[in-house]
Amino acid sequence: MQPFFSDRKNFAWLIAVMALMALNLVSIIYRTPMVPEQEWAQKIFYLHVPSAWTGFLSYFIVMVAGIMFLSKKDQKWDRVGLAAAEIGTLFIALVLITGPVWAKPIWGRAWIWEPRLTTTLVLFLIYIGYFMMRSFSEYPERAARTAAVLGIIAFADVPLIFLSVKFWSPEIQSHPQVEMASQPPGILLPFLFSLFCFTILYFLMLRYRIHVLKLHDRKDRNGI
Amino acid sequence: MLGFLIKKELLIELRAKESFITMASFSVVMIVTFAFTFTTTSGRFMEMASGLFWMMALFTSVLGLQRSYSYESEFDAFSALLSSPVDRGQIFLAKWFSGFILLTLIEFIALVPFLLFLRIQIPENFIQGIGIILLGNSAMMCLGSFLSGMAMRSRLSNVLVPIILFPLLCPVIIASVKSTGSWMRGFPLTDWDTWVYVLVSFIVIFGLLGYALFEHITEE
Repeated sequence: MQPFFSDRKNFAWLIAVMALMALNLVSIIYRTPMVPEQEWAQKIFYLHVPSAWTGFLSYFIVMVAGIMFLSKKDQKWDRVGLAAAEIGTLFIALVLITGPVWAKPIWGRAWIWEPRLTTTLVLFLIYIGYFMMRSFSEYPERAARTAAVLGIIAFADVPLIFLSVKFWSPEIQSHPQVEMASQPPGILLPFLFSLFCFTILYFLMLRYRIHVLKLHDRKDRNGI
Repeated sequence: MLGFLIKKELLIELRAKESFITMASFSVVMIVTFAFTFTTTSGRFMEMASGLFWMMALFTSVLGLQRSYSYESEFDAFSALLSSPVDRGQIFLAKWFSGFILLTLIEFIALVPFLLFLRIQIPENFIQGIGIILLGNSAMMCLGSFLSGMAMRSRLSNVLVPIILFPLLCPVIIASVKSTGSWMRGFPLTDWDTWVYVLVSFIVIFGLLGYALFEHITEE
């Protein structure tokens, strides 16, 4: 199997992602307007929200891959699920880091039990358990099955976690990202561009990780 | 067949009494620890009491869950159970229902020292309180039984169960604590019926998922 980036299509994708991400950073720093009272702190939202979107999309893919694995019994879907879980957790960790960085100057406190942030934290903890479960399983086939099931259960729990945290602390204000759609074009367009950049970056990372996992599987099978 | 499986689970417990004694002692130890840790005469203690009750229930349930599957690994009894002509979903239901019965029994016993040692006045409308306890226990044991079955053949399964279970049980913990707190403070049901819906939804969703997916996690 040839290296992932030896493929011209993948290499072109990598170059495009790097260029777009660089453009995205320049756009966030220089092109987006300063929001009164929030100043530079607000700019973190161009990274925070796309990271959250990518993380949740990734966990959705874990669930779909889990269903596909259980129905088709094809190892390919286990690799998709594992790759999506790993990358999703990376993006969710970014959300949990950038959230408090923004919250500290705006809300005066680094952590608030806001429903979306809390749901993200709980999902992150569930996925820590997911990786532990995988690594503590004695047989790879069993690990793949339990991981598929856990991916489905974790995603099914998301609406209930969100609702219960929302009702638990209704007095806590909602994230400003709710109003993102009603923002002026000066904010909305760079935000949508950032969302697009993160999404294509995510799919490149996912494909690359699946490729690496495939190589691992091949190595294990051949006993190298 | 389901009745037979539940009977088997309860009969094993009735003969050995291991889980029952362990769980009951643990819950009383926790209550005594709470009494030493918190100022029970403080006005704010009543707000915390419901949280302490469910914390006790949660930790106690983990003890029961671990025991419920650990005896299955003796003489590879679980493999024998799986090779019998029984729908695997029913094995999950039997574990869930028997665990629920055991946990509920222990909580009702623990309720006496809980109210007595922590100086909590018995709230009115006791039926509502029983309803909340039944729903909370059922939700906890539903997902708990499923995840314990999933983790039983992993290394460090005793550690894995709470690490995976507690975050997944967030909605149940919040809903149980909130509804118990509202009931203890005498609020009308219409003020906190949302929590009842959360608990019922959880039981329905994870009961169905557990029944459908248990076959996959027990595949040899």
